[in-house]
Amino acid sequence: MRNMDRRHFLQLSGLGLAGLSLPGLLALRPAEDLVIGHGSYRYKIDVRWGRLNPERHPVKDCHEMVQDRQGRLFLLTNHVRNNVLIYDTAGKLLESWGTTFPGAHGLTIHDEGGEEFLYITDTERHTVTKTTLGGQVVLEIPFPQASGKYQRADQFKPTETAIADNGDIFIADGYGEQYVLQYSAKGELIHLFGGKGNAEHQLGNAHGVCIDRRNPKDVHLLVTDRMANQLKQYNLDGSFRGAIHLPGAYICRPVIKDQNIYLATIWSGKGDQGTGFVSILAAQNRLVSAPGGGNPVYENDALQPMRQAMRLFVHPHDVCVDRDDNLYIPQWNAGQSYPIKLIRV
Amino acid sequence: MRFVWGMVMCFFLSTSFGQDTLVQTESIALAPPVISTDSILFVSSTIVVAQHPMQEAKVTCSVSGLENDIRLPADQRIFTEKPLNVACSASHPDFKDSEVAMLSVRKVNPDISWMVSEESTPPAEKYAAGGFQLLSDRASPQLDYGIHWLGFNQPMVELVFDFSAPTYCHQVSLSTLINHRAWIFEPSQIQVFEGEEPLATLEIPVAEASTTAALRFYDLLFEPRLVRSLSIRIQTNSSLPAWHPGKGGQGWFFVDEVLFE
Repeated sequence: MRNMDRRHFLQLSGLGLAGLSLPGLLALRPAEDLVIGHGSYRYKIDVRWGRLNPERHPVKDCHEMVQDRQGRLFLLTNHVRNNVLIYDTAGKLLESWGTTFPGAHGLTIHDEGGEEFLYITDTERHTVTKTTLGGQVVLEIPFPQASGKYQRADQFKPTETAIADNGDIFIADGYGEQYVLQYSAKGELIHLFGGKGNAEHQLGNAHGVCIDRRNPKDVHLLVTDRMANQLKQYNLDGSFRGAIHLPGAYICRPVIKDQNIYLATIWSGKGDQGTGFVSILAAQNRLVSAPGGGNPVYENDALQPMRQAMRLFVHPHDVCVDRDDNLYIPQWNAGQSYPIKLIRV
Repeated sequence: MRFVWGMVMCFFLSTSFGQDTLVQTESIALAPPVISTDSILFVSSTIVVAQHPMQEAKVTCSVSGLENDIRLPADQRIFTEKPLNVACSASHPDFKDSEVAMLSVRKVNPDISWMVSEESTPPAEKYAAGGFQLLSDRASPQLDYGIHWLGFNQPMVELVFDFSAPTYCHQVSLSTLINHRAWIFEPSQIQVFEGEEPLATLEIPVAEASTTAALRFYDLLFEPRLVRSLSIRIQTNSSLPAWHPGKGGQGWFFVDEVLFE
């Protein structure tokens, strides 16, 4: 698609006066839809998707998004006027709810016997709350005092959840003590692992967690270790098994769709502000595309340090992949802006 | 926070849209290139490399030495035995040109030794690091202001250097940190004195807003002379610019190395 904006109209209409030659004419290039990304994962960019009147539906940080079975998109923000904004894929607001999550951070959707539920982590309330899609509270998990690792509620700052097939709830305490805590579906603490530290099984900013079901015979956990620029792999019993190295990428939670892992990268390089991009890993956990970032380069089977390549994203905080493989990128600390949509081409 | 909002607003104001609201080519800027070196402070030589994470982007650099200006070769890699200031930007037909990235490397003369006099202005207690010996440790500076920097937040800072023996000197260089988000600013003026005789003055223009931290060298040249002691007087930024959240207030000045040639 080509569009003629004012600048290019003036350029073309001035040709006669300027007496430009044919090569000069050919050098003028009308603006086209910008396409970003690499390999077969390339996208056009819609920065106006989901924009609302901020007086009526304000956002603060846009932290995470999920899509339900009906195709509706749920955006979680820490603005207590409307913690949850529900959109259609065209960006039209359908509904909103939520006024009690000042630290709304992690949002997970899970189908439980035909009914879908949301799991919301709150880093200021120090809780994990399970709700219906309409916002009715079903379960609330407070700080894990029984674990013996926490003396006060404010030590528990959960950033993400992942739900196992049996209903067990894995909670990443990414802004707190860096444990991954396993609870039963009823909210009973089963055990915890990880914890703050530099050992390979420990974590530094365990910002995200998900269950990797890509190989049904080898279901395991992926946990973000943001400060190490790694996705760490654990068995469901908490035993450490390995890491995926993403040098230069300060990642948020892993999101799995089909055989790919999608990651918002909030900072890159040396961790400077405003340097985010999106990372897409293929089945072998190799980075194949980085919309907004540089070309992924492997040397001796090791990914070379990644950096932002263009000033598109500020601080991407999550990736929601819809049924058509379009991406929605909510951002933290980005001028109270609404998510950016990347349209797969 | 305001800086990030500024970036966002700049992006939205400068982005052109098609009829279907999709971002168009030439509406987003490239990120600046990455300029790296094995050593910002070197005794004999160092290598400077400029790269962009987008392989298709073209990186253009200019290099100014303290003597003759030169061009960086096509592979954007240069071996130098002399102090250099390197400035690079990136371009691509689908994007706006990037901001300019800059890096300076400086040569250290290992034969000159000196002490900082007790007459010098003491740094703020919070940013006193290892004391004045930090100014001669020849460790390459880091962007993290919590590591290895002396920080001052008074309008005038004076550093007095006593050489161990009479020394021919014609240049003073200060390695400083700029981080507007952390209220660390360029100074307004730097002067070099021998006693009360001014040898060199550098006026520094009011800073433009910058969102990223940067290292900055200030070089002051004067006629060679034999000296036993030199003082450097720094007027810090005591009235932060209108665009800054702390406008009108006192800025910080951070220094981590002083070089004499």
